[in-house]
Amino acid sequence: MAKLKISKKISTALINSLGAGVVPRVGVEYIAVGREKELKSLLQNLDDIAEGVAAFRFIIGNYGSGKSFLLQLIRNRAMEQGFVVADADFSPERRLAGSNNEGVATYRELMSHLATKTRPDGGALVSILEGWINKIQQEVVKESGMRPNEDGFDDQVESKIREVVQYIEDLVHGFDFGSVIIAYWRGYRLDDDNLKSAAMRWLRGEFTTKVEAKAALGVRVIIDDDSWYDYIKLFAKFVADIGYKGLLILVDEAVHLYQISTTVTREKNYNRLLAMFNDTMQCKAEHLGIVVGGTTKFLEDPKRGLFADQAWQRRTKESRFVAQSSVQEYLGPVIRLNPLSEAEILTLLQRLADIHALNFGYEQTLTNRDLKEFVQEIINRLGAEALLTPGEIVRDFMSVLNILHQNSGIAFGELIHGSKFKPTAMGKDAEVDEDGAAEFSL
Amino acid sequence: MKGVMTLRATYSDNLTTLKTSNMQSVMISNRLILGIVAFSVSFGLSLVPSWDFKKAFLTGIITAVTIYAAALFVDKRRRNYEMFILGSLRKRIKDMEGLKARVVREINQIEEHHNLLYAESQQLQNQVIESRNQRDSLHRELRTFAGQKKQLETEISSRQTEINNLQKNQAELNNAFSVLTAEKRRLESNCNVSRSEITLLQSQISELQQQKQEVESNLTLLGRLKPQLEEKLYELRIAIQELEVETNQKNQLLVATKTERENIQTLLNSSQTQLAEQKAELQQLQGQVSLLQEERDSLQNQVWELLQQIETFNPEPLSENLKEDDIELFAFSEIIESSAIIDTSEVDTSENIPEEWTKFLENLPVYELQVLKAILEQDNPNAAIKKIAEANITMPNLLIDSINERASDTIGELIINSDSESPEVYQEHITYVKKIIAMYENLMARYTSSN
Repeated sequence: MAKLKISKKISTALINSLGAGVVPRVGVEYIAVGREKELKSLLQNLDDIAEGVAAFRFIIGNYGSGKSFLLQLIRNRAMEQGFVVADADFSPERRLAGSNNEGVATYRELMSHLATKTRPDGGALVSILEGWINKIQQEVVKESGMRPNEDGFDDQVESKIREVVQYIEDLVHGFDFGSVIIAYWRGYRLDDDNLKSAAMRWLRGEFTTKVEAKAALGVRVIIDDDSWYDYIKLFAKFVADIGYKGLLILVDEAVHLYQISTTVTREKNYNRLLAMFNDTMQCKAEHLGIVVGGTTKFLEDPKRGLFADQAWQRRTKESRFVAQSSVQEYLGPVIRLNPLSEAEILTLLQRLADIHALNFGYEQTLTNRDLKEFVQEIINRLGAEALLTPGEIVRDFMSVLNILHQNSGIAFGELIHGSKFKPTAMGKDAEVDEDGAAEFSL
Repeated sequence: MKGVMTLRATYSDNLTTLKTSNMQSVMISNRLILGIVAFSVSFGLSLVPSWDFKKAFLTGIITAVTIYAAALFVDKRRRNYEMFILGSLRKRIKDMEGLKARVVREINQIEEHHNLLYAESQQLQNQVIESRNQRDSLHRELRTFAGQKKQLETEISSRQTEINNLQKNQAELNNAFSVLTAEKRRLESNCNVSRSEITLLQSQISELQQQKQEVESNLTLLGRLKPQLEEKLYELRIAIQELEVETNQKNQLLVATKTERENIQTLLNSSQTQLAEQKAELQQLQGQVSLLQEERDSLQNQVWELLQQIETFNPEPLSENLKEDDIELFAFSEIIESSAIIDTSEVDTSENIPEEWTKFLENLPVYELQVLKAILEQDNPNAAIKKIAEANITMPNLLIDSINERASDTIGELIINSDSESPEVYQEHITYVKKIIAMYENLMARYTSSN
């Protein structure tokens, strides 16, 4: 391996999150091994989205096979390339539709995690909004030749905002949306931070009643369960207008949709997902990409999964030619994550050892043979299906590295063959810390 | 109509004859039945009480005859009645028939009238159809005429526009023509001028060619001289190098001597100041000395007087205790404080900043640098950022994003933390940011002072 150059901050974050068994938020590209084809297919989607076409992918794999990892990877790549990304995890309170505003809860989560290259921790909404307003401002300056502090400039910008909003097709509540943008502009010009933050809250869907919205902004509508997806599409168009390449939405833990117990609600959610799929595949949405991570059961269970609905089956089932020739096809909407091969796992462990050594400043002494021994020991103790969950292997390996680094007296072979070495079996997970790390699927 | 009537008459005649013949037979049979019944009944009735056939038979026959007579009488009466009725009915029939004939006549008249009207209506319909056809054809013609008229109008307008265009073209062409003729005249004059210039130049060329030949001959001469000169040059270069080395040494000596001189001068200055101080003190001391001397003199005088008095009192050997007290001049040994020379070692800032930061500074536009300065120096830079945004037609958060993007491209990290209440520079980058701002300000100061 060539000498890696990683900043201390990133390598520390990597080691900590991997040691805890969660997917790190930064630095995933350094440990991306074995998913080149899947990544290439997703990068092709990114190019399509930059061109204006939309994309919808499923990332399907079992527990621990690396779905969240791949989602983080594509999220970071997309951010680097100039996309706006937003990610959210489904949960019992966050779905696509429901009777208790579960849909708009997902939207809120997405909006609060809206990120770009210069705002990687969420908070890109204000950049998008200001970028869009700035475009209008510049047009007004060009057309009328006025400068910002002249009389009548603010009114010109307001009327231009109204004009542009009128031209947006399929916009529900166009007039009220325009009023929200104008409220932000006014708040900016008059240094009224309350108005600005009220406008941001409205756009993030944080107003729960129309009365609140009317009191704060004077608009009579709020973003609710029926309209949040339209606003996602609108934002995709916006970000393309102001110079970003497009909007990428990543939703993970789709298994929560599978676990909805009432059939009616579940079907409602699946139908909403189908509507989103159709929109993107038929290019009724522009510059929008949606990637959904879920388990195989979520997709293929004939009674409760997506395949229970014929429409989904037709759209996502593997073509029979693929099954015949046993070749993985990467052009369909479903990306099935195959388990990593042993060689790939060894490469991954090698990289991890290098990063650990670089971070703590020592020379890495583990050989390839040591790593092979480690993998063999895992297989001996947990069976061959341990190879299906690279996340657990990584966590155990990180703990081994930490122990070796802190107690230089212990030899590697001794440690892994000793009786105290208890690799984590699949299904048991340590307490995960949600702060700053992506969630690992259960 | 008449045929029908005759048919009806014959039919009714037939019916009546049929009826009468039928009636006749029926009547006879009726009579027979009546007679038989009457006979039998009376026979029976008279027989029953007294079995006398003759009486019975007689009663029977009498009954029968009476019955017959009665029946005949009744019959006649009935017939008369019926004849009467028949007569009246016949009269009525005649009346009805007369009425019917009149009605028939009227019907015929009406039918004729109807036929006439029908014929007329047909005629009128035909006329209407004809006139409608005429109207349609007229409409069609009208439409075609209207179309033709429109066509003609469009043609007229197009022709007129063509005419206008042509007129315009003609005017333009005229202008162009006049311009071209003017150009042509100008060019001709230019041509003449250039021809004269050409002749001049040709004469110059011939001169220059002569010169060139001379120069070439000089060149060959010089070419021969060149190697010698090169040797000399080489020697001179070596001499120059040696001289340069010497001059460097001399310069270094000069610098050293200068510094020595400066040191000496400072020492001199300090010693001069010391000297001045000491002089002042000396004067002070001298003053004191003079005072003390005066005192000594006065005291000596007193001693002399006392001694004289003592001598007068007792002529004892004077004790030589007129030791002059050595009034020691207090040598003030002053401690000269050496003024510490604070070396102002100017840290040459340009050597401490990493390359990527200088690259970042180079790529950063002035207004973004001002934003960075405001964020660094002020607690609430929002107002300043807003002003800069207004001046450059952008918005505050976009400025921050742009700075971060440039930083990410050149340095590899983001330098402004946009998540906090008001934007601030990350702790680890503050020193470098300060340095580049200072560097920029130095550059600006030098630039303005040099201007």
